[in-house]
Amino acid sequence: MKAEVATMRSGTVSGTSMSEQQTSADVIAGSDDLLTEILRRLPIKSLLQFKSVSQHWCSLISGPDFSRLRFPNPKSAKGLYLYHPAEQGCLINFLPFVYESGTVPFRSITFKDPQTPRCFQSCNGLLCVCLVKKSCCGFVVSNTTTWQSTRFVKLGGGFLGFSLAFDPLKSPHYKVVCVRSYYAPLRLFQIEIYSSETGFWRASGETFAAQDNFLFGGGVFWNGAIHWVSTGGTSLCFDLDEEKFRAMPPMPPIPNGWDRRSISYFGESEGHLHLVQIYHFVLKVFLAFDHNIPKVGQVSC
Amino acid sequence: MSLSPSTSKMLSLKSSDGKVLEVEEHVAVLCETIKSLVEDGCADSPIPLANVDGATLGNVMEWCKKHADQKASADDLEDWDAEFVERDQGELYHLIMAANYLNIKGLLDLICQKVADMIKGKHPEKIREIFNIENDFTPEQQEQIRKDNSWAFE
Repeated sequence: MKAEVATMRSGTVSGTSMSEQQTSADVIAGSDDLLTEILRRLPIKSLLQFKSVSQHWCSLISGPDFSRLRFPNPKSAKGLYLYHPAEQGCLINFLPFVYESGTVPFRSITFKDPQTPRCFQSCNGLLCVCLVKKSCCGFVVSNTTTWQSTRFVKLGGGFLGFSLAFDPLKSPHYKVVCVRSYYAPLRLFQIEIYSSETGFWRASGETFAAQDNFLFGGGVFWNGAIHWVSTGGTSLCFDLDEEKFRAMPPMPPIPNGWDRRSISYFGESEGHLHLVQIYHFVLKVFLAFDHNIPKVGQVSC
Repeated sequence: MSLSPSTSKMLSLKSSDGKVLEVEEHVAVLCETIKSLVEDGCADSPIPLANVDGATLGNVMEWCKKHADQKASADDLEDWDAEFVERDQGELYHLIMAANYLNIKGLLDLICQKVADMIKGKHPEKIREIFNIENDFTPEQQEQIRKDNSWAFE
C-alpha cells in the first residue's frame, strides 16, 4: 500500500500552475458551501472587512445561516452589562465572564442624548436603550458585535415599558414590544410591536384589562414569548409568533403571611427564565426550562 | 463486514485523468462517499472519481492512510497534519474540492482552516485577486460598508 501511494505522490507534479490555481480558486469562490466552510473560520474583524469584497460575499457573511453556523450557541452568556444612567444619556459597560484577548473590541458605550434614558434591555447580543420625553419615546438598538446602531421613535403617551425580542437562530430581525395604557373609563392595555424587518410600529391584538399590578417595564423575552410578572402573583405570557397570550409556566406561590411577590430580579439567561424573590432574607430562585418544568431553589442570606 | 486492517481488501480508485490507485479498503472508507459504495456493494470495479485528478487523489489517500493508522497518537496526527497542509494554494483548493466531493470531514476542516489562516487579515483587494472576484460595489456602497463596520477597518 505504501509503495502505491508513494508512487502516486512521486508521480505528481509538485505544486500547481498559476492558471490551474486560478481555476480551482474560482470553483471555491463559486461554491457557497465551500466558501462558507472557509469564511466561518475567520476572525470577526476579517469577516467584516471581507463584506466589502463583493455583494455576494457581503450577503453570504451577513445572512442568518452564516451566523447560525458560526455561533451554534449564541445564547450562551458572555458577560454582564452594567448600566449607569446620566443626566444626558447613559453609559453601559460590558463585563465579560471570560476575557479573550482581541475578541471583545470594546468595553463600554456611551449614549449621549438630551433626553434621560428611561430603561435599557439586552437580548442575545442586542442592546436597546429607551429615551422618553413627554409623549415621545426614542429607541436606540445596538448590535454588540458590530456596534452598529439603529434609531427609531414611537409617538403617543401612556408608555409603560418595552421588551426587546431577538432570536438569531430564528431570524436576523428583532422586535421591540411596548405596552401602553389608557383609561376608557377602566384602565386598559394595548401591546404595540416594532419590527426591524418592516421598520414600523403596529398595534397587536385587542386591548386587555389586567387587575394585578404588572411590571410592564420589565417584560422578558424567553421561548418565543414576552413574559410579565405582577406583584399580585399572576403573570402574562405573550407569544410573538402567534401574537396571542398563552399559558405561563407555573409560578411558585406567594408564601403564607405575604400578600404580594417580593420580586428582585426577573430575566433570561442561557435559555432559562429566572425569577428571584426575597422573603424574610431568604432568596428564592425560580428557574423555568424549555420543557416548562420549573425548579425552585432557595438561598439564605 | 469487517474493515479492520488485517482483513482489509484492496479497492481500485480511478481518477478523472484515468490514473488508477490501489488503496486498502479500511483507508479508502475514510471517504464517506466511498464508504457508502462499499456498504451498498457497488465497489467492485475501479471506482470512477470524476471530480478528483490523480495527483489530488494521491494526496487525499496519503492523508486517509495516516488517519486510518490506529497507532498514530493525537499529537502525532496534529504534527503530521501541520506538515501536510504546507502546500501551494492551488493544491489546497484542489484538496478542498476533493474532500468535499469524497465527503471527508476531517480533511475538509483541516484544509479550510489552513486557507482561512492564509487569508485572514488580508486586504479585501487581495482577496478579490486570490479568488478572481470582481468588485461589484459602487464607491458609495463601499464607503457605507466601511462606515458601518468602521472598527474592523481601523
